[in-house]
Amino acid sequence: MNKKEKLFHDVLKQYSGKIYRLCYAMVYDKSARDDLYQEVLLHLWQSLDRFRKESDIGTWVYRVTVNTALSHNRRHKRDQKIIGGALPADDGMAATDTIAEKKEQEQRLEKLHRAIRQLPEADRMLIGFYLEELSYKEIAKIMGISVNHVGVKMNRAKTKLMKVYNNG
Amino acid sequence: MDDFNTFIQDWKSTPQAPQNNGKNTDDSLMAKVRSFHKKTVFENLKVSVAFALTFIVMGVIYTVFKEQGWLFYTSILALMVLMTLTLVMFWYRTLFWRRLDFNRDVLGFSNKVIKKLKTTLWLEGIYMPLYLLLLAVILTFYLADVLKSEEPLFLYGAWALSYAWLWGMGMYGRRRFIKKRRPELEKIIREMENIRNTLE
Repeated sequence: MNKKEKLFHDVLKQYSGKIYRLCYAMVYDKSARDDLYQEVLLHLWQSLDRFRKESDIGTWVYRVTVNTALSHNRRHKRDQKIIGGALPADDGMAATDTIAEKKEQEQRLEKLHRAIRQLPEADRMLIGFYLEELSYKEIAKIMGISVNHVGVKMNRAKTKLMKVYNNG
Repeated sequence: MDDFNTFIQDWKSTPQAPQNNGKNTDDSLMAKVRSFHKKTVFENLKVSVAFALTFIVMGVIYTVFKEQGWLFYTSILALMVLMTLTLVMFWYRTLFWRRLDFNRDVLGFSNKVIKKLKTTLWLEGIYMPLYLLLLAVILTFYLADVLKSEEPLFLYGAWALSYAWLWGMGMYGRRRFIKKRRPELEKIIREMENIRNTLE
């Protein structure tokens, strides 16, 4: 395995789950989401040579993910904010486990995803970063805005999410 | 916020995508392009062999049958020119892999593949029906000259059979193009254009 492949392998090991979860927040259609995920991986692979070591690798991964997702949504002009229940019923999250707790968690997760999808695109991204437990400082670096600005936007996004979640 | 702590736990249980890496991501599309390229080359080779045999037969006819009318020689020459042009276009649409490295020049590679695939679309969708039409015209003149001493009914029968055969080939090719080839090609073109658009 050459240096680039090794680095990519390490990036995937650490970030593939996070990337996919963010794609989940940004795109509701399963096949489009899988396409987006593949596109992000492709961009990461292609831009590894240009990755400047002075920036944190996590920041770089998230930035590529965000830019790819925004570009993907612009191109497809779908997966924008949706109001109401026009969401695919089967989202590839069928329960495979009959244990009651697991089932309950899956239902909560489905409800959470449905709520996230009803938010505007920028809020979906913010919520995604929050749920990935990124600090406001990290989010500010990724989005190129100030930490205070992140704080303000995040509070608004969280309020909106709670409102939609509780009404859902 | 308890709710958000629960959200974070639930969020982390989101189903994962199948394990993949960048090379495989490229490779799934590259596999389609390679497979399509292989089919194209194989098809080109079949056509080249068929055309080569036809050239040989036409060449023999041209040289063996002396003192024929100008229509006879013109139609044979026209057929050879048409077939040569068609063969050149068939090979033009082939991507010569070794000239391009996907990993070094993704944009260049994507542009090249898109161009070749669009050429194939044009070739199969527009040029081939035109080719069959020109073939029909050439056969008309050729048969008119070769069968000039036969009964008119025999000539009309020969024409009708030729047109029926060309029509059948045309319809088969057209149906195959619309049902299978065009959707296949358009899908690969779309995917390559997506890659190109995100890199530009």
